[in-house]
Amino acid sequence: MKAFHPLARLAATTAVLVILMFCRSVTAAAVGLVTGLCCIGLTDGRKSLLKWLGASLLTAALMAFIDPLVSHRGMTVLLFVNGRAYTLESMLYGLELGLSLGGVTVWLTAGRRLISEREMLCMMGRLSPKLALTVSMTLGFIPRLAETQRRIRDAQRGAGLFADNSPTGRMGEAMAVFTACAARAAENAAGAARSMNARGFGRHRLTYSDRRKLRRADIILTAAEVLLTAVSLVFAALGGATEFYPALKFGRYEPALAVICGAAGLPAVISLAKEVIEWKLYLPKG
Amino acid sequence: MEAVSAKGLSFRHNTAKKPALEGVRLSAAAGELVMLMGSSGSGKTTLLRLLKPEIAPLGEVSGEIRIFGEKAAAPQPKVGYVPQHPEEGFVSDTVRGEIMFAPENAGLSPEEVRRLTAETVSRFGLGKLLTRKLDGLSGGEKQLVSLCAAMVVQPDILLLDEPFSRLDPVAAENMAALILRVNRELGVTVIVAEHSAEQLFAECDRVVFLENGRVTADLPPRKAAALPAVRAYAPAAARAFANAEPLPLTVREGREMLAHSEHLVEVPLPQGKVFTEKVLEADGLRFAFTRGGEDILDGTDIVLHKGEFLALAGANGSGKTTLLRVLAGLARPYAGKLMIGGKPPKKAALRVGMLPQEAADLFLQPTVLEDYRYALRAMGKPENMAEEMLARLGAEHLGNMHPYDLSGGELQLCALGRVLLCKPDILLADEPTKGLDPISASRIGHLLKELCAEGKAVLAVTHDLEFAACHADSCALFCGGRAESLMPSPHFFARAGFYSTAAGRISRGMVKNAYLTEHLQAAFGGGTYDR
Repeated sequence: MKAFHPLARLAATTAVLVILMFCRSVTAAAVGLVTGLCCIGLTDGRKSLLKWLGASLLTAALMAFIDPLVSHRGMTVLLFVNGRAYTLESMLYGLELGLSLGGVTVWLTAGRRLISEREMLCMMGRLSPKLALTVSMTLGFIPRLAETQRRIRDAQRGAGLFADNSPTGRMGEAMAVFTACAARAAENAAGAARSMNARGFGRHRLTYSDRRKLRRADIILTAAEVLLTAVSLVFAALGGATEFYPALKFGRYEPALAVICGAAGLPAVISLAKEVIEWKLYLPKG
Repeated sequence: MEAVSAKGLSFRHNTAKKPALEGVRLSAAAGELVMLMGSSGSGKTTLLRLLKPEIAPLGEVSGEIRIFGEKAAAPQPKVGYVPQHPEEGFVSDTVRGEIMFAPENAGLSPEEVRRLTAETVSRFGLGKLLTRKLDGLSGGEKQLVSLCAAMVVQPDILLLDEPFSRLDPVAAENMAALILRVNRELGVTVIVAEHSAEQLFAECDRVVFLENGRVTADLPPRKAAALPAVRAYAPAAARAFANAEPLPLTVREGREMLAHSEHLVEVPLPQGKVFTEKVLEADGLRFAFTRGGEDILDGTDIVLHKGEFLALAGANGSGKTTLLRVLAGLARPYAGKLMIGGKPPKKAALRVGMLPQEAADLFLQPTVLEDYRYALRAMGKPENMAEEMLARLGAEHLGNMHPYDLSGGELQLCALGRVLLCKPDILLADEPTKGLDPISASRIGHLLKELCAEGKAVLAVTHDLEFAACHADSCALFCGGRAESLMPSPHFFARAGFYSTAAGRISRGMVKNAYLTEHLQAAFGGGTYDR
C-alpha cells in the first residue's frame, strides 16, 4: 500500500470510516469490519488478526446484550427483564452499533499502519506548514515531557521523598512532580525558542519540503474513494440504512451500500495482500 | 582573514551582580580550530552565545564582536551553534524534521531544502537514523543530529558547547573525528568549549583559557598546557610529563616520550582495601522494558561492601542507569535476587539513596536552601539540617541561589547534599562527574570517598575512567547487561587492555601497573608517588 501516495491511502481509510459511521447499515458495518480485519491481518499477522477479531466480536456481543436493557422498542419480545420488554430488534440494533464501533476501531488501527505520522504531517504541511511544524513540535514535546516526569519522580524517590504510598502521599507527589515538570517545560521551551532563533525561524516564509508527487494511480484511487464516499452518503440518505423499529427491515439500497463499503476497503486489502505474496514468493529470504 | 573577533567584550546577566565576562579578547582566523577551556561557570557558554547574536543572553553588553569583519548582528546565518544538551535544542519529533528545520526556514525552494538535507545526511552518515524518532536515539546519536542540524545550512563558523560532556570515550572519539573533518576538510572555523582535553586539545590551533569571565591565556596548545593554571585541564600526557620538552599532548606522543627516555619498567601496584561486610548483593538480576524484549540486565551480579567506593564503567546505553534504578527500587527486575544489608529491599534496615544523572531533577523549590528544607519537611526531619548540610559541603554561599542558575559543579554538589539529607547507607551515583571540569570532578570524588570513610557504601556509574581510576576502591565494566571484571581498582586498571585511562594507554607494554598520571610521573622521573 506504501506504493500509493499518502493522500490516496488517507482517502481509502476515510471512505470506509465515513460509511461505517454515517450510513448505519448492518451489512455495510459487517463488510467494513471484515475488510479492516483483513488489513490488520495482512500488516500485523495472524495473532493480531485473532486478537482484533475477538475484541470486535466481544464488543458487538456486549452491545447486543446491553442495548435491549436500555431500549425497549421493537415488536419481537424475547423476554421481560424487571417487567420491561427485551426485544430482538433492539438486540440487532445493538449488534449493528457494536459492529460499527468495532469496524471503526479496526479501521483507525489499520489507518495508523497505512499512513505514518510523518506522512500525515507531510499532507498537513502542504496546506499549512506552520500547523505541521506545531504538530511536529508537539509530537516531539509529549515524549520528552513524559520522560522528564518519570525522571523527576525517580529522582525524588531515590532521594528518600514520597515513600508514602497512601492516596494523599501519592497526590502530594503528583503535585510536586507536576510543578517541577511545568518549570522544566518552561525552561525547555526557552531552549527550543533559542534553537529556533539560531536556525533562522521567522525570517523567511516556511517551506515545507517533505513532499511526494501524486501519480496517475494515486489520483485515480483518490478520486474513486471520494466518489464512493459521496455515493454511499447519497444511498444512505435515499434509504440505504437498516431500519430496526418497529421490525427489522433492510434498506432499499443496503446491498449497494455493502458493496460500496467493500469496494472502498478493497484496494487496501488487495495492495497489502500483493505485498505479502511478493514477500513470500518472490523476494529473496534473508 | 579573521572569522570571529571580540574586543573588550564584557557582559553581565540581567539578574546577576557581577559580570559573567570582563574585557574578553578573542579572535579566530578563518579555518581555525579554537578551544575554550575553563572551570564550570567561567563564562564559556555565555561567550559562545554572544557570538551568535540570535541567541545572545539578556543583559548588559559592552565591547565589540565582529564576524568576518562586520559588526555582529542578528541574523547571522554564517554561524552555526550546537548546544550543550541536544534535547533542549530539538524542535521536531524526528531526525528528518530536525535536519530540515534550518533550510526550511531559510526561504529556500523545496528542491534546495531536500538537496541540502540529502547532502548533510550522506556526508555525516545519518542515513539509518533519518526516519527515527529523536526521543529514541542514544546520547551519541542525539549529539550527531544536533551537529548536522547546525551544519545543514553550511555555516562558515561552528560554535560547539561541550559536545563530549555526555558521551562515553568511544562516542567522544567519533564525535571529535567528525568535528576535525568539518574543520580540516570543509574549512569551517570551529570554536569549541570543552572540559575534556583528550579529544581535541592537541589538534586545535589555540587554547583560550577563561577564569572568572576573563581570558587568562590564549596560546597554542603546547604552550597553554605548560601553564600551571591550565595544567589540570590539559591531556593526561601533558600532565604526566609536565617538565618534558617538547611537551607531549597525545597518547601517541606520550608513548614516544616514554619509549625514548629512561624510565622504570614497573611501579608498585597500590594495595587495594579489604572489605568484609556486604551491604548490597545482587544475584542474577534480569530486567527488560517489555515482556520478551531485550534483557537490559542479563543476569547481573554485583556486591558492594560497607565503606567501599565501587565504580561501574561502561558505554552510553549499556544499561548502567537501569541497574542503578533496579538497585534503588525504582524499577523491578523480573528475575534474580537483590539483598540490601542481608535482607530483601522491602524489609531492609539500610537506606538506599540515588543521585540522578540530571542533578536538576532533584530540585522542586526556587532556591537550594528552600528545597533542602522542603525535602526535610517531607521526610519528617528537622529543618535546621539544611544549613548543616550546606556547611558540610562548603556551599553556604549557594543556599539562596536558584538551582538552574548554578554552574555544573555547584549543581552536582548541591544535588549530592540533597540526596545525603535522607542519610543513605548506600549511595548510588549516576554519572556524578558528567559535564564537570576536572577540579569539580575531583571535589565530588573526594566527597564520595569521605562518605565511604564514614562507613557508607558508594556505587557510581561513570564513563569517566580517569575519575574511576583516581577515586574508586573497586571497579567493574558493565557490558552486555552484566558487570564484568569486578575487582579492586588497581588490579582492574593494571590489567586493562585498551579500555583504559589515557595514562594506562601511554604506559601499556612499557611501565607495568601504571594507569594514573602520577604513576607515569613516578616511572618517568624515577621518583615516588602517593595514591
